[in-house]
Amino acid sequence: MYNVLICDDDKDIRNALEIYLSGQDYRIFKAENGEGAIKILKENEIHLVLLDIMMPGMDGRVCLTKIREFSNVPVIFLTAMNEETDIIMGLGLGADDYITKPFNALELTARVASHIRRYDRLGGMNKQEEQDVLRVAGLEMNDAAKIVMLDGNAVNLTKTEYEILKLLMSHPGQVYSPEQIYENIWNEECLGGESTVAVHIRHLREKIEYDPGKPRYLKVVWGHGYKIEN
Amino acid sequence: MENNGKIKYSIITALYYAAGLAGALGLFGLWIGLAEYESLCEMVCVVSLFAGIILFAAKLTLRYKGAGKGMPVATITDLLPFEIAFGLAFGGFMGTLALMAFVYNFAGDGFYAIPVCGGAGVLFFLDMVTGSLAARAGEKRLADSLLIVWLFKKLIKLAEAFFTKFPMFSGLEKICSGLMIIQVIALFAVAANTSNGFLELALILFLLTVAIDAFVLLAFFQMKDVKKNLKAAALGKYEDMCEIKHALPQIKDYMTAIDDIEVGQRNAAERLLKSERMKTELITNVSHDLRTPLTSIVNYVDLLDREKLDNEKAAEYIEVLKRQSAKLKKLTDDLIEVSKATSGNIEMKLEDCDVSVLIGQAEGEFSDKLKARDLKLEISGTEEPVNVTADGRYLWRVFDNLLSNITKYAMPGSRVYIDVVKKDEHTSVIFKNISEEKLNITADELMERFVRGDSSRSTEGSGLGLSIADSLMKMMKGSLEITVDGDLFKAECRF
Repeated sequence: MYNVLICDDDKDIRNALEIYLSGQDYRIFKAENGEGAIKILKENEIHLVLLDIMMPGMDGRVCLTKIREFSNVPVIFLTAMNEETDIIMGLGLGADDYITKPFNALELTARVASHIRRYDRLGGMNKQEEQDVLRVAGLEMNDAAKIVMLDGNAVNLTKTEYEILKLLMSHPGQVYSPEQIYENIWNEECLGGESTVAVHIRHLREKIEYDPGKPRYLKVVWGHGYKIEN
Repeated sequence: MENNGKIKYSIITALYYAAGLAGALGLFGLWIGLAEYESLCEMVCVVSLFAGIILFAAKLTLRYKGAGKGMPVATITDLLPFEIAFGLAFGGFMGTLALMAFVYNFAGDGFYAIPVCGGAGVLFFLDMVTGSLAARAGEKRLADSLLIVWLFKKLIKLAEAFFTKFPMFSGLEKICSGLMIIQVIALFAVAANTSNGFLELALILFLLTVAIDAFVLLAFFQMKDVKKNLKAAALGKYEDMCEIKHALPQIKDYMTAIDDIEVGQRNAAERLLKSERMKTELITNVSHDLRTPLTSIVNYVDLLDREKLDNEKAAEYIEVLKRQSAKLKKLTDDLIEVSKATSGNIEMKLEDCDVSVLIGQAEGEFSDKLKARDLKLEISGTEEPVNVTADGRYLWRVFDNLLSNITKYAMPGSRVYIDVVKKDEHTSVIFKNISEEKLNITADELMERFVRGDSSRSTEGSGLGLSIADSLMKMMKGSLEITVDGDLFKAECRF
């Protein structure tokens, strides 16, 4: 039984979130502002926080900073903004993930589950396993077993897609040009192979992203290449 | 040849001096009055005179011809300007005459030797001078040896310096300064020439003129600095301004005015900044305020959908709600984007972006959608990297919008062309396609917001795509040009 804290100033959104998560065997706590959230956090053992960024009074970012002063609980931002700068700043402040509004219900429940599981396992995971596993937020690649999991669900990839994903996940945040990817995977000179790479990337994205139009992990750096976002 | 010349010259000079000596001896003999030698002396004199003249001419000719070829030169007379040389010669001659008179009046006959020697020395000097003259004429440098010419040249250089080294002086100021200098000189000349009665008056006038001219010149110099400061103020580079020391009162007023300009500029900049901040805040708030209820709509429609209602009509209505809320979401996203773009509220990171790579990525994104409408993509110009200065994310948005439009409006079965053209002055990416429906509107109207090529508005799309693309291109210091020619639709992105 895990405890989840929902903090959003809009009542309907709070209720909707509660409804989505109630089927998953969680105990739900609700707060309508930052101060309320911190109070609940201090008085209860919470395993995950869903935190709205824009709230009157203490806004999400300030609240997060205060939370991080005393707790390492996973925090997922709910944001109406999808400006890259805001997201990067939020993650930089200590959030573990973000979901943009309006959100996809499936995506939400899967992400929550994945983060809770990770937080739980972190103490118990042994070192050997950690080394073989490439992980970025909810996306997990176990190279020894050649398994890729998204928020706890296995993803079915072709060999090429797996290789490309492995290359990109080996250095999260680093941009690989289509040329580099081609030469790395096919081991020959890339002559016009950029479009092939682009097609594979698109298929890969459709498999590992809830919303391929707004990818969370596999990002295109237009004019340069591709990367896996931290 | 040179040595030959030198030898010739030396011989001739020696003979010349010999003739001179002979002539002198002859004259001496005559002067002493030795009767038996009189005719001899006369002959010697005459011969040596003729010989002397001929030799002299020969010497001069040699020097003239041999000038610059290492002929015996570098006598001191070569260094002196001619005026001075002749002046010295003249002085020497007068001195000799004076000595002669002195000896005649006060000393015995024996002392005549002194003036005679003096005279000989002067003649020798004159001889050298004529030689130099010939040499310089030979080198075509006669003008150089005149003092007056030298002075004149110096004056011209001074005038040149005056006119070029004071470039900040306007033409009028230069003329004024010139006139003032002439005025001072003229007054000086007048003052120097008046008789004593008017001398004081002239002197006072002169001093007054000098004082006035000094003030005017000072004003000219300070105006130069004021001009410089004004230019700096216009550019906003207030650090470049210089302080004017001992500024005249009028000049001080100018400087105060420039300071006021600076304050005004700074205030304007602050107001602009404030208004920009307010715009950003507004867009942030609107974005949040629109998306919050939208989130609930999407969520609760979704929840309704899950409720498994047995009501067929209800299920239908829920489908409508789902579709429409998705449309609303897209429209909201587009609206927020267009307002960000048009208010210049987007932070663009302009850097080198490889258009070839970008087109390749775009091809990857759209290949399935294009295939679904049986559209064949023809790309050219991407064999080599083509770099432009742009923000990759937003350039992608432009291409995304254009290709989206193409996917929606192109005639199925036709070809779509993407050409990357690189020229010296600009780089273009040109999208061409054939439209499925008749294009009844002009390119300009298409670009306007909320206008769509499909007047029935039956397809998806907010009508903001081209407008957003246009704004984004402008923010990246480029341009988007739409051309409609019959059924041909052409969009050119130019950097």
